[in-house]
Amino acid sequence: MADGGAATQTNAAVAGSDGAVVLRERYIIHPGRPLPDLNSPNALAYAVDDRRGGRPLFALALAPDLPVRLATIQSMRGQQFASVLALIDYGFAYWPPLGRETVLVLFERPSGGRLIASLEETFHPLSDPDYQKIILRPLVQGMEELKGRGVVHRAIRPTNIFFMDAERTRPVIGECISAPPAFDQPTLCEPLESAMSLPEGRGPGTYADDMFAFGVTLLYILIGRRPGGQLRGRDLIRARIANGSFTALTGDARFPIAMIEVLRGLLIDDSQQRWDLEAMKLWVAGRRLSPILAKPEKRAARPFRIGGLEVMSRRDLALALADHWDQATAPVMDGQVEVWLRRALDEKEVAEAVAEQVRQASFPGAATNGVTPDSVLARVCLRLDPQGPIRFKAARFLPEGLGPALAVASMRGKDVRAIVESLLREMPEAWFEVQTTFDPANVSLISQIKQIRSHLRLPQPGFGVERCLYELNESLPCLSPLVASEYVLEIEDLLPALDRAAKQVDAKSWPADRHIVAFVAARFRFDVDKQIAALNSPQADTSALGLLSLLAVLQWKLGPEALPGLSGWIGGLVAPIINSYHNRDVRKSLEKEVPKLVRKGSLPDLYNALDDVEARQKDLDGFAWAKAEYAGAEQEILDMEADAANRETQALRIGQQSAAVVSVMIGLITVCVFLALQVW
Amino acid sequence: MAKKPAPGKSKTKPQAKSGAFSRILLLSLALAFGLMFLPTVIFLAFAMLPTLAAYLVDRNPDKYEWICVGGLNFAGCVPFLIRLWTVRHTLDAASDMLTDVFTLMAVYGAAGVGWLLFMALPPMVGVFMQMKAQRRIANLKATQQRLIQTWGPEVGKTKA
Repeated sequence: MADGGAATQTNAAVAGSDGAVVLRERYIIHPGRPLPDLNSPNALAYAVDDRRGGRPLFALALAPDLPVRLATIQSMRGQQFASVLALIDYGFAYWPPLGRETVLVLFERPSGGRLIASLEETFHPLSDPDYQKIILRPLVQGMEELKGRGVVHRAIRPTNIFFMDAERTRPVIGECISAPPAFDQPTLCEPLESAMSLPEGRGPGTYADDMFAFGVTLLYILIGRRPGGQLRGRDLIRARIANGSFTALTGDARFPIAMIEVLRGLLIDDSQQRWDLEAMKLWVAGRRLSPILAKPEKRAARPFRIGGLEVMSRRDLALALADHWDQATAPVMDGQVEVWLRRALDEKEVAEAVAEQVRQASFPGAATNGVTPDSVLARVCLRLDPQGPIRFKAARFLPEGLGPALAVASMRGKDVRAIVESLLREMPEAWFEVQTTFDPANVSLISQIKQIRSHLRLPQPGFGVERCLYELNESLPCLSPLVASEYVLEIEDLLPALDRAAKQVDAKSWPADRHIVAFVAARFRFDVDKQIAALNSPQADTSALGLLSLLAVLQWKLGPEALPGLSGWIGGLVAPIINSYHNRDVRKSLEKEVPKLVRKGSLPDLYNALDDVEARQKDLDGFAWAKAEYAGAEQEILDMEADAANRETQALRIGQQSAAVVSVMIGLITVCVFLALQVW
Repeated sequence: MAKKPAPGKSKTKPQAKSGAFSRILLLSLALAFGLMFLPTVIFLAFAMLPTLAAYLVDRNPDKYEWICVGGLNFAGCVPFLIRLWTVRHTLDAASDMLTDVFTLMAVYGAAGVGWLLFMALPPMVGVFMQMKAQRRIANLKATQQRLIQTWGPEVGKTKA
């Protein structure tokens, strides 16, 4: 899977007074002193001064739009190599030429420069003894050193060989960390299945891939010109398919007979048969191994024509169908491919598999089950070339290259739909189904891909393509535009970056876009599913609370203690949370309290103040009581208004009663008064 | 063997007889009393005519009107009755009183006051009750307003 690994981003550099960047208070990297001779295809080289003296160094400023091989950097950092360019140190720093933060990697500076700057260069071949002494043995040692440290290089090519001495007698294998594995490799330096993939979809590969690239490099140095003659690109690949890579690359080149054995062993297309390092070391030690015979690709009795090409083999047909995707559906679906496989190539088993795919596509409801002409074509390509990459529309990648392919496409603004659709159509599983050998390492990959697909099917923030990106690429920095100028590789660095970003962004914008939420979901080791679910709520208050909760958990677990900028930013967005309280007095109280908490810079405190469970329950209870009281009053008012007529009747009766009583009382009083007057 | 008389019949006949007897007795006593106090009876018969009229015209089942008129009508009669009883209790004296305008004005005026009281008091009670209801409604609305101020207008909505 993707290159990755946990790293601390603590070794950040600081800017020097003259614009230079000082790394670890020791290495002064000069942006004004580029070293174009030492540039990598995707990283520019700059001069470095070591304050402690020592070896001359140079730095590579890695392209920020490519995922870094952080685990490889860490495993090579500080290691002593004799025949590999030594990686001294690395760090993250604001790099003025890029206008943003990036990774700076320090290497020992090769005094003898690069072997060749371009594959098109030619030079006079070395004599056999010199070749053995100056090139072969040191580079084999370099391969041994790499394997000893568990590094699959994936960037071994003639243009990446340097000489550490001015006399050019000490060759070293160059760097491999400035781009995804095999990203910078020319197709001729890659085994066929990798060569047919897009550069970003080649995956980390294996030592066998490195051995093939090593073989091509040795061949180039041996003959002093580009292997494969005048053939380029697809033509070279087709020639390699037709004749085998060894034959196609060596062509009519003349070289010592003794080298045929080693080159045949290294350039054989079957990775199982390819020479490994042990075989190479034995050969260097003088032991001769039994020659390997490449099994040629079965050729058809008559060609299959597509897009102006005439193809003669299964693998060639897969390549041609994928290259002519729009024209390829018809011959597959109407059975031409099946007939050709059956009659011209006599591949009945493959023909039957192709026919089965076409049959499944003709079933009613096939499209709703994900069986589309594109998926059929992709599966047919896999049947024709099981070792080849997954080919789906414009996407070409090996299953292990899925992560880098997605990352590079996303970072460089390319269309990721073909990759996403191939994943949704279960193409990686289809690739594993057609493999003839079982690799236990694939089990975890299959499981991971299934998990990724479940994320991909959910459109909400925290899932989707962004989540897949970060799950598949452990060393991919957060791609959110909010932290675009910083290289946020570790989850610990996200909140400080957002805190700094708070000073520049629109205060009304949301501090957690799809990338940030996906980055947190993939990198944070604590379960934040509830926070993300709340964040995705259509209700403004729940969503705002989810956002605050997510960032508060991050600060609580990872620090830092104070984030005044981010707190201020969030503080301006909590109005829906405050308004979720019914009680106006509580709202006023919170509105007074929030600025104090914002100044404190503590998101957990802000969260606790805004989502106090007890206060919220009290508010809910109080609101329910108030609603009941309001409804009771309303009902009483309505009753009283409706009772007006009855009240008049009642008033009449009471009035009459009262009048009668008053009258009788007056009568009695009068009697009593007059009787009393008579008596006295 | 002779049949026994039905128990119901044996009781009904003595009761009817005693009722008639009582009536006759009462009528006799009233007649005797009326003859004894004939001036008073004659005076009251004329003086209490408004009460009789009120009784006749009162269609209310509770018959409060004649009581109201009668109470004050009798109160108006009381001074003249006492004078009749204390000065000379004769038919002439009663006749003199009944022909005296002042006496009639006093007696019938009192009855009129009773009538006015009967007409005036129910509306006054009605106004009082209406005021009381209005005040209660105002209090309830004030309570509602206070609830809205504390809990917002959503407190009055059916759905939260």
